[in-house]
Amino acid sequence: MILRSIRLDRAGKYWGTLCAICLAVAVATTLVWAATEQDVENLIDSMSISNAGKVTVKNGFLQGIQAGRLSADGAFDFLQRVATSGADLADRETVLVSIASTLLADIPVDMLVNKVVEGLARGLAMDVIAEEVAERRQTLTEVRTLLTQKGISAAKFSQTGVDAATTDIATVLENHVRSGQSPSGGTLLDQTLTTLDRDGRVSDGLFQSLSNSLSEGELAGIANNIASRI
Amino acid sequence: MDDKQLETLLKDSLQHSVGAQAHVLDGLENRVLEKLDHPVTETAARPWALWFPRVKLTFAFAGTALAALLIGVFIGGYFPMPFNTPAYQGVTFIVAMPEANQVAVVGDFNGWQPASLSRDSNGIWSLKVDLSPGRYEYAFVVDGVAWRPDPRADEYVKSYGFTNSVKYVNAEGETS
Repeated sequence: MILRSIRLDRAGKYWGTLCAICLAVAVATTLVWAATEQDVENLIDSMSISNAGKVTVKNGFLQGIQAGRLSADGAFDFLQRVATSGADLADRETVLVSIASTLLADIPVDMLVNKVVEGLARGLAMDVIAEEVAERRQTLTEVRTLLTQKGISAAKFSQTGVDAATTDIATVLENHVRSGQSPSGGTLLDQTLTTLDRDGRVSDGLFQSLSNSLSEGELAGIANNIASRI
Repeated sequence: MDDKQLETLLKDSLQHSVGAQAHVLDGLENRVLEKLDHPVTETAARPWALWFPRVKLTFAFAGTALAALLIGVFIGGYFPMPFNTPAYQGVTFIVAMPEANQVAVVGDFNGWQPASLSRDSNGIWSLKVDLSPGRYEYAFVVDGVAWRPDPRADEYVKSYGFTNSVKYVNAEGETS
């Protein structure tokens, strides 16, 4: 009825038809190339990992997508890169289950995903990558626990901000220990706050809250745990 | 010849001309109406007119085009939209390597897939990348094999025993 009431002249009909065709092509192209949650599920189903592993990986990645921590397209690309890496099947499953379990624990996985992709780009063996992922996952878990104890959560601030802070703090502690510096050097809090301040995803309010609640001793405790693991 | 004679001569001449062409006027009204119902196609004279007709900008055309563009871009997701994506900043990766034949940047912003830098006449390689605010680890890949840190990085970190460069981006762009 509405369409019938719109009267287009000849040029209007022509360009309207042309635009409709372009729109249809754009939508069709998107539907063809952008992976969906269903594509992610299908890819996981087709992977050569155990049934228990598939359940964990599927639940974890779908939860991550629904929570906005991963895009369906990004998850699909990542899973495909791991699946086609030619690495040992058990090592592949270890990596994927570790990341999925992290997502199920409501912890950000940017750092872990990036380390896997970097490791593959550097041509490293999957067992080396799996060790790195397992170690960093433990650090992320300890940092997230610390922030929760301080009352810093996605409910109070944004999930993006809290996830960024969790990743930044874990990254600072990992880098500090891996560069051979002492966990008890007394500089961890300064380094952490500098990094949080530079990261555009951490809001002023979240930064102030972290600045007021974090202590050198707590960060050194996590850094000591890292040193004992690597 | 006086005026009277001249007038008579002209009248006779005109009547004769009209009379000779009278058949042309037969059915003139019908032919005009038919032309109005079926306008002459322009494609015979201008073959390109099929694809690029002369367009009168109408509200219908403008509205249709704008709606299609917005919906296509939004659904297609090909371009960042200000209301559903973080602000992106143009960040320049730049390094002086006159001796290199090829320089690329790999990092967590591009899935560690090489993106080639362009070389100027002084051997300065550069590439501008749109990045949302955050912290990025990266390295330069020289001549397809050697991974090198960026001498201008904000900081450096160890990863798998190698040195990665780090760049921070905030809402205003690069922080350094």
